[in-house]
Amino acid sequence: MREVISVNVGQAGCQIGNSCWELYCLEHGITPDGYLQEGLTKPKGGEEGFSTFFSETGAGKYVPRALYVDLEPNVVDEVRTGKYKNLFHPEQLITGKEDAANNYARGHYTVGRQILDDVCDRVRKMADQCDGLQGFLFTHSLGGGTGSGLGSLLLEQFSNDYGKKSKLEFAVYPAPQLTTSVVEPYNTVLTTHTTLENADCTFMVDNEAIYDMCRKNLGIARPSFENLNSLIAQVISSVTASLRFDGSLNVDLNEFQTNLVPYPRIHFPLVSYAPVLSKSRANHESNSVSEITAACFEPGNQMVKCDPRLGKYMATCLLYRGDVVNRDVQNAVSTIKAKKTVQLVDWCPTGFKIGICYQKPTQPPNSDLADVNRAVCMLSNTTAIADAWQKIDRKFDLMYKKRAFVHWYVSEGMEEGEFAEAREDLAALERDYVELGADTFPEEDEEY
Amino acid sequence: MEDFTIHLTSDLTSSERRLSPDWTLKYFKHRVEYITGIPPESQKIWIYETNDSNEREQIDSLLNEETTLLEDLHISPFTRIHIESTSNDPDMIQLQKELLNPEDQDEEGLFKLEEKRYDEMAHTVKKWKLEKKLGRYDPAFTGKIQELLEENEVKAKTIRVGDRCKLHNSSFERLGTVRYVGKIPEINNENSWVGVELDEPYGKNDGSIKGVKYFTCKLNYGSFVKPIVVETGDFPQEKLDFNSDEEEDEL
Repeated sequence: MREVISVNVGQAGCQIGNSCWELYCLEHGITPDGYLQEGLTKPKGGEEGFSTFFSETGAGKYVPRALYVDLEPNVVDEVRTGKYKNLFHPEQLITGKEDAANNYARGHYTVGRQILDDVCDRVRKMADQCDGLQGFLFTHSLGGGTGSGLGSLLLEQFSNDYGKKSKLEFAVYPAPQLTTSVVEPYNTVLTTHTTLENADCTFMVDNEAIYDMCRKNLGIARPSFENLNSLIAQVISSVTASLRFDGSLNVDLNEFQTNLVPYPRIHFPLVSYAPVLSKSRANHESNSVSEITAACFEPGNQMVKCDPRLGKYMATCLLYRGDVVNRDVQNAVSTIKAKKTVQLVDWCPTGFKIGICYQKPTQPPNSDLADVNRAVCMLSNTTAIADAWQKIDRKFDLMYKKRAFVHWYVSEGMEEGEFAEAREDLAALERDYVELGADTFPEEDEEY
Repeated sequence: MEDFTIHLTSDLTSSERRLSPDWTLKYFKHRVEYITGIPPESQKIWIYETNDSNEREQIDSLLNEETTLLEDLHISPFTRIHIESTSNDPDMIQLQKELLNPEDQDEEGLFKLEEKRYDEMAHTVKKWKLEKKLGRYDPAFTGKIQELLEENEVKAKTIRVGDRCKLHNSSFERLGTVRYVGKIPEINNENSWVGVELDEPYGKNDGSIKGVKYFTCKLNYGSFVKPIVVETGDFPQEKLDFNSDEEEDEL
């Protein structure tokens, strides 16, 4: 068996975790209290894949291989008292008493340290129950205090404790316009600096991009976090589907890294998803393989706002779900390759890696998304994502040149030098992205 | 009463937060400072019944913050709480303005990584590319660029002013007549260019580049392209004859 342990950290991480586990349960035919749905004799989609994400207790009950961690109890209390309260063992839900106050330093040094041993013990217990642990899947925000501070502390610690086991992240990146707290730029830069060496692959999701998708494609006037999170959960589910369902290609966690990351620092693939359709629009769309594939190259389907037409692609994975045949995929891909807007870097062979999982997406009963027969999630390592770093770095600078709010961090024992060190590392990352796209053959098509 | 979710907004931030009804107003304001950046003494708190409503009510600033609990206030799930800053700290007001339009600010005081410093760093993409001889650090890459350049110059020698030609672009083909072959310093000094008068107005100019005239034609009939996309030969002007089309239709 090739188990994967999910670690949800902080408010955003835990809430996204909720949406994900609700979806996983539905997809595999598991009831909210952890038993098989009536009429099933085994989990949907095959037992082997299923067991990477769920463990079975003696009594025929299934438990997610997941951990919720937050420094304050409020958010995890929702799980403890909610519909899925019996799905988890109380030991899987770890909370402290004192919140991180949106402060990386509290999450990473002071308050976070107090909870670290506890978390490590629980993870060790879960890891010991595995036959062949593949690695960890983190969900957290980069802007929150717990998500950034404790999230990066855990990633560092797991690097020590579990050596080369894969560590993938789904990270909520601060949206350019929809800032959730004023110090998000600090937290983001600090946590990215810390995790740059410790995470193997980071899939970023920016709330503003998701927000726009909810409004434009799903017709939700004022999307709530729940609306956003259930869409994010669909995307995460597509990424993990090949690990969870038998008979899929691309079933190893570390394959994401192998296929997408040319150099360890450059591990932030852009995620796109299609179709994002409301129930009322679904009947008017045919959703052919070529349509949904093409949609992935449109900025409106991206999880992070940036313009790939201005960047170059280093690697691309297309993960299809549902009623999809290989021939249609090959046709769709060759159409895309012929497009002038899809530019590849000149220094490495950039194939399109294809994954097909025959389980179509599942929609929870109250979902805003239409039920569809097929969907695709594209993971592409493009230099265009450097835009995201450039924007956050700029905000960091505007604040740091006034030393605004820096005393909140220093009073938690953090040295001011860490700000400068982290910022320099991010500047180097921006420069790295420039270098990636710097080789250009003279264009034949130039016209004046 | 259980914990509940509210929308918390300020001029710079917008988020959903979980609150406990038994928090004191003082504790709430303390937490809000770390979200909005507005210190408790400068927080003017407005309550909107829902996230959409425009009607609002201000929390009485004379309330005893230590004894007033959130449950005493008119806050219910999915209420929007807006924090207005009454601070007159000029630094904060300035920062707020800058953060609302970060792209419009001047570069003064922004971090700049010197190339020398980047070259000193241990793990960078540049070091890696150099070491692996990738892209522009690959001798074959520079060789290939030279090769393309030479191919262009050889091709240029086969093209004569007055030739009829077809331009092959990745998206479409166009017909025209060659009017100029040679260097154009206004574009670059590396390669030769071909000036073409197109049969149809799909060009970019009237035969001049940056005010320098290389040939004369009607506006939008002129185009300068690389020799490599030019094919010379017997390409007669295509006559658009609408009458003949109609006749065919009748037949």
